[in-house]
Parts: sequence; structure tokens; C-alpha cells
Amino acid sequence: MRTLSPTLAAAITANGRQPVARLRVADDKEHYALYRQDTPAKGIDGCAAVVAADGSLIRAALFDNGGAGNADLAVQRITDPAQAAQWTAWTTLVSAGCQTSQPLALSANPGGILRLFYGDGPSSGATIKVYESTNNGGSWSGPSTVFAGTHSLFYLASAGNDDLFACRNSALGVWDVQFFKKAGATWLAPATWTLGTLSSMYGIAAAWNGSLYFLAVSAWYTSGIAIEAYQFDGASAWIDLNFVVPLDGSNLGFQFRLPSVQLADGLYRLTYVEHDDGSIDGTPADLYRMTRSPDFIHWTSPLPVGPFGSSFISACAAPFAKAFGQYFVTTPVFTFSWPLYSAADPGRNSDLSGRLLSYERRESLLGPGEYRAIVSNQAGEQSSPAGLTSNGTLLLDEGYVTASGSELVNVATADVDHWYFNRAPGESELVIVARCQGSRLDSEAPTLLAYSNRTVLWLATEIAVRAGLMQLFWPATPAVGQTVASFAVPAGQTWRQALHRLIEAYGLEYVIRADGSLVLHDPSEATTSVWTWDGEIEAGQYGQAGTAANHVRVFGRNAQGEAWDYAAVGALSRERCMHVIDRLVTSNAQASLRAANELLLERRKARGGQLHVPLNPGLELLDVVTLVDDATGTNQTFRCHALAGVMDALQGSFDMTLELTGV
Amino acid sequence: MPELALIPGTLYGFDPSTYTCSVQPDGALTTFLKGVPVSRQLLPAVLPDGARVSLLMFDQNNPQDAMVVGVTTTNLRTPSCRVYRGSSASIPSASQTVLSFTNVRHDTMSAINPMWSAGNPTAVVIRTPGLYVATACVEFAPNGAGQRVVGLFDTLSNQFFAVEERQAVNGDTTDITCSSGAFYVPSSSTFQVYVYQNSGAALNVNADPAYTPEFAVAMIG
Repeated sequence: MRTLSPTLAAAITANGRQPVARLRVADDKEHYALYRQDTPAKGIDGCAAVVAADGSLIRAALFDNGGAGNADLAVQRITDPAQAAQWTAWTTLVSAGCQTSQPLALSANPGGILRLFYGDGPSSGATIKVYESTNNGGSWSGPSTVFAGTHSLFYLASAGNDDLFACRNSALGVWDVQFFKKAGATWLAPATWTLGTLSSMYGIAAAWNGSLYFLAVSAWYTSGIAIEAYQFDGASAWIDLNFVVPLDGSNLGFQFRLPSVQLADGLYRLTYVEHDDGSIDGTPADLYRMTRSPDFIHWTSPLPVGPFGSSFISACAAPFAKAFGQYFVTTPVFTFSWPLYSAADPGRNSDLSGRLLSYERRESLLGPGEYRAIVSNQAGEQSSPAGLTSNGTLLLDEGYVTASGSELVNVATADVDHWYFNRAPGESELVIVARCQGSRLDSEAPTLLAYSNRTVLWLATEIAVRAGLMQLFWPATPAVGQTVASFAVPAGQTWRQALHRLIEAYGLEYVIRADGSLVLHDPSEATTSVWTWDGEIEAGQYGQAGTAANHVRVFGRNAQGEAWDYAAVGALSRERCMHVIDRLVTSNAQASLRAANELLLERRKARGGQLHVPLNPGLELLDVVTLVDDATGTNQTFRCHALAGVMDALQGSFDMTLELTGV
Repeated sequence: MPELALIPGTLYGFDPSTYTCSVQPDGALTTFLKGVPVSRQLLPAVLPDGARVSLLMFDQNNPQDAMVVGVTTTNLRTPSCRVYRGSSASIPSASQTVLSFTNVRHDTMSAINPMWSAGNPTAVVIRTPGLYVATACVEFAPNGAGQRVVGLFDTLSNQFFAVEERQAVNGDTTDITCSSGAFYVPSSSTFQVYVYQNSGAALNVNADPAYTPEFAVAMIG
């Protein structure tokens, strides 16, 4: 249940209550548009970007002069993005002496030190050099040598913790990752990762969260170029976390390479180049994509950034940067941007509360909540309200006038699905339809994803984040920690179907809160009644039934388990069996867990009903409520399986219908 | 409940030891299902990389609870080959001699990767691991002295897996049919026919329109 203040809780049951509602729309979703397109005099071999301590955007690039070790290293400082010249003027630090193939990294380090790493051209990248700036990119000193080895170090990345990561090519088909750390004034000897070698690598990105390094490496995995996420503790523990962009076979001609990552506003934002070699349509083309992660393990389905509709081929990464109140994905040629959302921006927000005629909200277990608001448009003033965009956000708050004033609780922060106008002589209304953020689960998986030996919680998080739900809560119950030996999300299956299949295996449920967080629920969790109606319901039907199974048998893969409700068997004088065959269940313990939870879910069928009550902004799906009705001698708890709220200002209704089951 | 699905896909990496493979379902874009069981009714010969297959998934979300149940690629067949020699061959006395062949009666793999070729006339090439049977029929010219032997040889294991030996027939040809039972070939190999006679002089293995040296090999599982 959502938290209600004592005064608001009291207002819900008070006589003469005065409801209030607030309806807003916001254009707050991250989406990128071409900000500028430049035409440098030379081709691009690599680029990097970082934001300095003073907020200026520092970009570095390798400009091609032909040959492998003959590129220019240039840098630029942008202090005012409106000045076009700042995007096109480059200061050359090294002329015709740098290794190509993206051996370039730029980072902001402790002490306000900017470092620009590059591969020395004459040594074929076996020597790594660095320029430093202590005045936010105003000037650069160096170069000094970080490391001089015998093997080429193609692709560099720095997480901004006095560190450097490099992809080392020590022999034909033998690649690994090297870690360099600066201690005092000295760069220590490199450490080699412990994850073996790969046959080739195509880029590396690094991030630091204050205690751990995270790496994204583009390499030839299995039989194609994919991107994988890793963790490194800075000492000796390297962990392969998960794939970022999976690829098992290059038969369709896709490659994912040149990753770049930044931690911004609580999310890792990883950009990369999706290369399509044209095997399908005959037109080779590259596309910059961005995927986001709250933990570097689980990544969203990638967002296309651009360029669109061209046969552009990119030899450089497209780093992300947050600067000047915008998100940028930038290269020396293309810069895409999204101005950061502000709730105070009148151009991207509208408060429609004053013209709100009515709304409905319908929420049911395991499905998307739907919100439909009707706004008066009598004078055409709401024909195009600011903030009303496809996939924008509808914010609906409910409450009552209390002694503290209007107290409101957010009951929906939903994704706008569509809107339309109701028109008739004398009638003009704007109707906005939105679906809860859980509707993102109804998108299809763009590619097959397969996993081995992951826990239910890990897989649920993976599905949620791939769908775009970044926050997950879960109970500390055994079912959530069970290991699933093999699980796949087929291409074209919705995330919701995959999630349902996963949680079904162990008899779990979930709800999506108004803020978009996904909450796993285990039927074995202790229950507490969060609300009681004692005679003040408007109408209702509620009763008992004897149709629930009282004996559950679960058959898994070489495993079985069962659960009995002996009391129900005795009371009914009849055994009602429920057979479950599920080969995701792979041990007797798992089968017993499933059986126990199935029995708990079955018990809910023993009673149920429907209540019509005054709108309560605190109630959520799966809440347990108590109904006291002296006329029928009822004093029982129920669980909310569906909620429907209706507000109609003209009819003066502000009601809620609850679909109930047993607890 | 798990949703059953029958979907088309492309097979990769068949592993005969576990009888599993990877399958790229149509539409999977860049990734494969791995460790998918294959029906034991499907012989390894019809499971090369790229074979189009029908995948029965008892649970769409559990690749291990699935099975490749059919192959739809048209030119994939079980290996079977029969060759013969169109002319007589002189076999020296007291020397094991590999018999060479000149023509093919049938080769089911001819459109894919022939089991026999004129460039390697003594060998029938086994490329697909599995169970095989082989048979050779040889007629020695009339001569009553010594023994006559026909053997079937596997070059991978370096052993004869079938041998037929008998005393020469006095006053007539000596005809020998040498058959193996089921013989497991774990990886690529070749089968050959060895003949031997110790009549004291060179002796022909006969070939005429009615009777030629024959060598047949067939995969049976």
C-alpha cells in the first residue's frame, strides 16, 4: 500500500469528504535528435569525449593521414555549445604519429586531471602515451609514456580513476585485456585479466563506480562480434557479468563494436556501433545505439540514436556525455542530443487538472494498468498541450482535501499510449489514454536471449531491465533464489510472457508500482491487512467457494514434490488434485516450493468478491484488506486482484471497485 | 503453463557424443539456442552445419526441453555407397594388396561430398561418425593352390573389421563375400578392401560383365 498521511487516511473514511485530483502530462523520455553534423577535413580513426570539472565538453579525435601509425591526435574544448566554431576547431597535439584503430581514451581523474591516452604510431601501438590537462582542457602537457611494450595495444579505455585499460594483441588470434594503474607519479606494470584470451577484439569501454571497475568489451565471441560486460575489483578478481549485446553467429551480418560508456544520473549509458554488413538488404550501414543499465549487469534493449536511413560507415565510437543541460552522443561528424527534462519547463509539461472532467484507472494482476482521462477542450485550449507526446508521461495524483490542504498521492506515472478528440456540436474533449510502465513488458524481445544457471531473481531483473523497468524489489524467500538451469526468451516473445513463464515455475507473482518499479511477490510472504472497511462500503458481493485444489503435485525434470491442505480436505471431505508438469523445475526442493506456492495461490479461490468503496489512493494490487459487515457476520481479509477507480466531476463520483480473492 | 511450439530453424554444431546441437530459430536474428537435444532417429549425416531443421519446443522458454525432430534440407541423406572394379586386377602372391575400384553404382553423398572418387580409387571415405556396415565380393581366378583372403580395413582404427579366409577351390574360381557386422566409426575415416592369395604366382581378381569386384558401405545408425 502507498503511504498515506494520517490526515489523508482519515479523510478517506470521513463523511463529507472532498476529493481532489491532479493530471499532468510530461515529455520526459530520453530521445535523441541530430544536433549538428560537421565535415572534418580528414577521416576519423577514433574519438573520445569527457566533461571537465568546469562543465566544458572535451573531445579528442584521431584524424586519418593514411597508414596504420600515421594519424593526427587533436583535441577541442567546448564551453558554449551554441558556438559552432567550438565544434569544428581542433588543436593538433600530435601530427602524423598516432596509431589508428581507436587507440584513444579520454578521462577526468581525481585532482581535476584530464588525461588523453593514445597509441604511439611508430611503435605500432606498443607504446601508450598520455597528455594531461590540469585546467579543464585549456592546455595540455606531454606526452609522457604510460607503457612501452612489445605487443600492440589496440583500443584504450579509462574510467577516470587514474587507470587505463587496453586490448592487447600478442599474437595472431590472441587478445586479452591489460590494466594499468597510476600510483603517485608512476604508472605501474600492467596486470593481465584472468579471463583467458579471445581471438580478436573490437573496442573497450570502462567505468568506475567508486569501488569497482566495469568494462564492456567488443570481441569475437563464439562466432561473431558481440559486446560483453565484465567487472574488475582493481586487484585480481575479474568477473564476466553478462552479455550487453549478444551474438552467436555472424550469418546475418551484424557486428557490435566500439563501445563507450559513462555513468550519468544513476545509469550506465553505453553507446556502440551496430554494423550491418548488408547481407540482408545489400547495403552495408552503421548505426549508433545506446543501451542503459542500473548495475552494468542487466542492459536495456538498445535505443537507436542515429544516423538513420544512410549508408554511413563509422570507424570511431560515439561517446556519451552529459554537458550543458543535455545528453550528447557525439563524434567529430555527428552529434545527437537530448535536452534534459525539467518538471519546471513549460514547454514540456502541462497541468491539465483544471480542465479534468473525468478519468478511469484500471489495474489488474499480471497485466498493464490503463488510465483514461477526459479533459475539457471547449475553447480548443488543450488541442496540443505541451508535454503530450507519444510515449510521454501521464501523471495522475489522487487525494482529498484535509486539514493540511489538498493531499495527493501519485497513483500513476504512466506511458502515454494515444490520445484523441471527442467532438460534437457543443462538445470538445481531449481523451488521453496511457498505460502503466509495466506495459513496457508487452514489447517483444528483438532477438533470442538465452541464459544458463541464473537465479530467478537474476532472470527477473534481466527481463525487467531489458524491457526498460530499472527498479526491482523482491522478498527474501527461497523461491526467488532458485537457480534455473536453462532459460530463453525467444525473439518475438513479449517480455511479459517471458516473465510470466519464469515466475510461474516457482509460483511467484509481481506487481508494477505507480513509479514503474517491479515488485516480485511470493505467496508465502506474511500478510498484513492494510485497510479495513467496517460498514462503510457502498456495495459489494463476497462469498465462499469450495473449488480450490487441496492437494498439489508437481512433476519437474527428474523431480517431484507435493503439498496438502489437510484441513481443506477434511472440511470438504474430498480430495481436489492439481497436477503441475513443469520441466523448469529441476529438483525435489524446487518441486516442493512450487507445490507449496501453488497451494497458497489455490487457497485464494476459497473466497472472493467485489467491493464498491470510496476511492482510496493508497491501495495497490495484492494488498490485503479487511471487510467487516455486521449484517452478515463477516469479518474477513481479502486480497486485491484488480482495482478500478473512477472520477467524474460532472456526476460527482469518486469511486473504486475492488476485485477480491482470498488471502 | 509452458507453451509448446514447433518452429523452423538452422542447425549448427551438432555434437554426436551428447546428441545435442545449437539451433538458430528463424527470426532469432543474431543468437542461437544451445545444447538442444536432437532426436536419435536423425542420423549425424543429415545434421551438418546449416541444415534446416524443425525444432519442437515443449517449453518455448527452456531450450533443454526441446528436440530437433526433423530435417527439411532436401539433399541431406544417410551415407551409402557401392563401387566396383570394371577390369581384372593382378594380385601378387603372398602380399596383402589394396584393391582399387573404377566405378560407382550409387553414392548418396555424391551431390554433397562424394564418398568415393576416381582420384582416391581404393578408399570409401567416411565423413560422418556413426555405425556402418560394409561388404566386399571378390572372385579370384581358377587356381587350386594356397589360401584366398578378403579383408575390410578401417584406416582410423588401423584394423581389419571383417576378414574372410578360405582354401582355394580346385578347378574353379574362388568366390568370397566378406561382410562386417555393425562397426562404429567415431570420426572421419576411410574403408578399404584388402585381398591376399598365396598360390605361388600372381593371380587375377576377375572382372567381367556378370561378376565384378564389389564394395558396398552403408551407414546404419
